Amino acid sequence: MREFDVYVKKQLLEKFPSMVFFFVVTMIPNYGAKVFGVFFLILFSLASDVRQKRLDLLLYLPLTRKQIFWFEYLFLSLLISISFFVGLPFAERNVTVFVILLKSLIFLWAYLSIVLSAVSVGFDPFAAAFLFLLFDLVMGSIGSTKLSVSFNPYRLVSPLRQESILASFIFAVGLTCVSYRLFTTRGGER
Amino acid sequence: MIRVEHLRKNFSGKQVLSDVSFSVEPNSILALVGPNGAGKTTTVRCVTGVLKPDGGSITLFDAKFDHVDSHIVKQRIAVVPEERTVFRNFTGSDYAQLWSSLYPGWDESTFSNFVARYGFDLSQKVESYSIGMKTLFLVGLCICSQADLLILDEPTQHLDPTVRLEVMSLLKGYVDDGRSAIVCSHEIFELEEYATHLAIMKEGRIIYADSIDAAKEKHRLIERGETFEKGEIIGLVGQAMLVRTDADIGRFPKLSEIVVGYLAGKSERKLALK
Repeated sequence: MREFDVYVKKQLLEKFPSMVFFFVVTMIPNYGAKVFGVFFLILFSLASDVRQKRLDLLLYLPLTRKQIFWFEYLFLSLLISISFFVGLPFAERNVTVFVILLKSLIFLWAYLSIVLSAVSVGFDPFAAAFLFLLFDLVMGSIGSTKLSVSFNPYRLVSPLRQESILASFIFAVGLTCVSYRLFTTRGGER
Repeated sequence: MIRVEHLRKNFSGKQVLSDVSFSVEPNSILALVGPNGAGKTTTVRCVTGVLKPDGGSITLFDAKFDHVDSHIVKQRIAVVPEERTVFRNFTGSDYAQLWSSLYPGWDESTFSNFVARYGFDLSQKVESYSIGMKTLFLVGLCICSQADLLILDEPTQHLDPTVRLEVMSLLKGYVDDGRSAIVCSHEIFELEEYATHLAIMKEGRIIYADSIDAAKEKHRLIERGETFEKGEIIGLVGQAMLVRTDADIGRFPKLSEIVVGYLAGKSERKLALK
């Protein structure tokens, strides 16, 4: 845990203003606001370190790629969970509010995986995130989830729409595995 | 302590390291020298786990180094990287706290003495230190980490002459205790003062590696007009020629002359002969 503490301190000290702003945004007990906040938290996270060639600073320390990868997931997941519980008194008191937390976490894991995968193979994380968001918006809005000629299975797994939370969860876990593989073997090296 | 064998690395099809092999024993300082672009920094990035090599092997402290998993091994390595990039919002004390958390052998009293000796303001952001102060601060962190292996890229660059001498002396003292260091530097005159071994890199390969004393014994510098019968011509050093021989001819070269001879190489010699 000592390494994780160091990682959290580094991320907070280095990115304090943007982290605080989007942390406050994710406190709003509404899925749309949370998705907005999470999206930008991802952009200002490890992806921006890789983009600015600052990942080496961490890797020269006694931290491995594996640790950094999981620390980032854990750190952002904690941040979103904390913001959810801080904002909980202002939310409606029913069980669906916890579904928002789950959906926010699935969105985080899927998009963070996309961004880290993209950055690991040398793409710009910001461009990758916005392109995938566009793809997600378009693909998630066409067709339906009913078995018919317009059946679109992507709507089930779409990190944004999440018509099936279980399918989206499995999709996000799959993306995380791919992202881990790419980040630990390639890591956006130049 | 450290053994690097046949290390290979390429970036987008460009071969940066093609065959890098060297070893570093305890109580020694290996000087990794070579022109810009020779692959010194890439070698350091592979040895420290920043990059995954495409081939070859790295053995650190008798264990095969895995860049994804070797977290405990990394606690025994401290690095001053080539670019003096630092965390932008970290003050000197933030840095000390970070390093003391990550290095189990962190020596707080040495750090306090170091800070007092060189007048560092720990409440100031390290990013705002002058380039020389930044270098010195990073070298200080490495020394206080008490890591078994220091990897230092240009550790005396931008330092004033007196501080340079002190840093060299600090490094010599540091490795006396069974530890070792790898120093990448272009300061070939300075290296003679504190390095014990050298590895000369050119175009992604180690073209010569040995202890500095042995290297001097195995080579001679032959001035123009002198003749020799037995030996291998290495390269030109000004008007003289560096020859690898055990014959008692010419004079023993300095470290800088060996480096220049190897880097100039035979192509330079051909040009001179033309």
